[in-house]
Amino acid sequence: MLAKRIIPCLDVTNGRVVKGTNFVNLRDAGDPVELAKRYNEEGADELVFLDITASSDKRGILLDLVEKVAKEIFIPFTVGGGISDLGTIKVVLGAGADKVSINTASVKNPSLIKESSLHCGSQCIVVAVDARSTRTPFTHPEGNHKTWDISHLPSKVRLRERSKWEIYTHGGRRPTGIDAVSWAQYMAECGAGEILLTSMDADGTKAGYDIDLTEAVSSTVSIPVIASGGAGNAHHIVDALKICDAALLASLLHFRELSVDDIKRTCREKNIPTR
Amino acid sequence: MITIVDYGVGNIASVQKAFEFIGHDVLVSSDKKAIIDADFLVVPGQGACSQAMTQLKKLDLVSPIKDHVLANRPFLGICLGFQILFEYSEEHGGVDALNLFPGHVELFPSDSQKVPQMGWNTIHIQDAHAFTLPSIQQDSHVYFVHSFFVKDTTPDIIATRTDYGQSYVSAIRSGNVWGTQFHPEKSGDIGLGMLRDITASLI
Repeated sequence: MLAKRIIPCLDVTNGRVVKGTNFVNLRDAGDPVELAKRYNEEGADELVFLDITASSDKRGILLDLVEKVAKEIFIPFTVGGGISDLGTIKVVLGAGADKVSINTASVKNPSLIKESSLHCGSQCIVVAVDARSTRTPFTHPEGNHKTWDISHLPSKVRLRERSKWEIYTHGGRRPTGIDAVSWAQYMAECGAGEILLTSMDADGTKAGYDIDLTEAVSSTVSIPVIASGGAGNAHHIVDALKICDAALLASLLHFRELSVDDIKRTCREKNIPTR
Repeated sequence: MITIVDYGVGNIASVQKAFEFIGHDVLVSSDKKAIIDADFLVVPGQGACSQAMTQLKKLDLVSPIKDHVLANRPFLGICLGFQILFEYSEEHGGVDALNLFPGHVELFPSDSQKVPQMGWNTIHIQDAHAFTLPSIQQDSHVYFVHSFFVKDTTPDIIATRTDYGQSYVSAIRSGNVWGTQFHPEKSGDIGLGMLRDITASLI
């Protein structure tokens, strides 16, 4: 039986792993290479590395760090952060990543998802979707960037009156006017192999994953969905894995509140198949 | 020396890294002569058979790979490199593959399950005699990423089967020729152990 995946996520900036709440108030969580080694040994099913300020800083990804992490682990390794063209995707895969996670560039240029999934295969194209409830308008402490012009996108992805979640780009700084569920569906049509779905409302709160959002997306798309944002205990992870394929974890693991083993034990007790 | 065929379908860096980690010299090549001269040939790859066959024809590597396998020389096909060993793929109304073993490649139905299958699934050993490697144990979890699968082939080469909606062939062994639908290079310690055992059994 296919196991549900537990995926530690290294949010990296300035060469360090950091963790924030609702995408802000970042605090230091350790060295990326050391953490990657630890999670590989603890039985993590995959590892995600996100250079969280590459896109907002308008710079390239930290390639030497990607290489160092890749050398230490023999489980699937996803890398994201500011990736915006096929050339960069190939370089990142060549540096030892197995998949790339694309966020901002998928909105700017959806044909990148088509082109890269044709060239490299859908299995290595993960589209990261950062979603926020439309009922909680958001102001970033450093100020919101202006809303996207989305006239290049099909009208079916636009925010509608009954839309429950809007997606944001640039590390949560920029609203898009795009409906999250329709967007995930459109990305799957374009060739994405997986959706990494982060609830900005739940991120860092430890109040549990956004189950409504996760279920809405997971039941709509036919590709795997990774739930992200909000895990506070192992039962939250069980709840998410009942409705999707994988759970992304950061602070709970980084600050040793739970181990991968603790999580898997609870999953097994609740009949969630794990490795 | 391990020769990994670089034919432009999918990422080969992780396969190379895994073989180097377990202590082998690796040559990554798309050169016909290097492939003909290879002692131990590894064909990785991800994606569709049609793409793989187009690339292999373009590089004139179809007959070197076929000759290598037919001569029972050490060989490991991974994922797409495993699927192309069979007769044909059902994609686009039918694509001829290398036709080295009976059986064909088809697409997972996506009506009741996620496609691609992405993640860790278990292997069920079919023939203990063909697959007696210390690292490979009943119901071990290994890493899969694929939309196409091989439902069946001649029973005496089936090493393991796996269930995803239905039972399918997840590894074969015929003499010195191995094929795995899963990715040993991404399957943690178990996968590295398999690569170690397979290379030790062949070289």
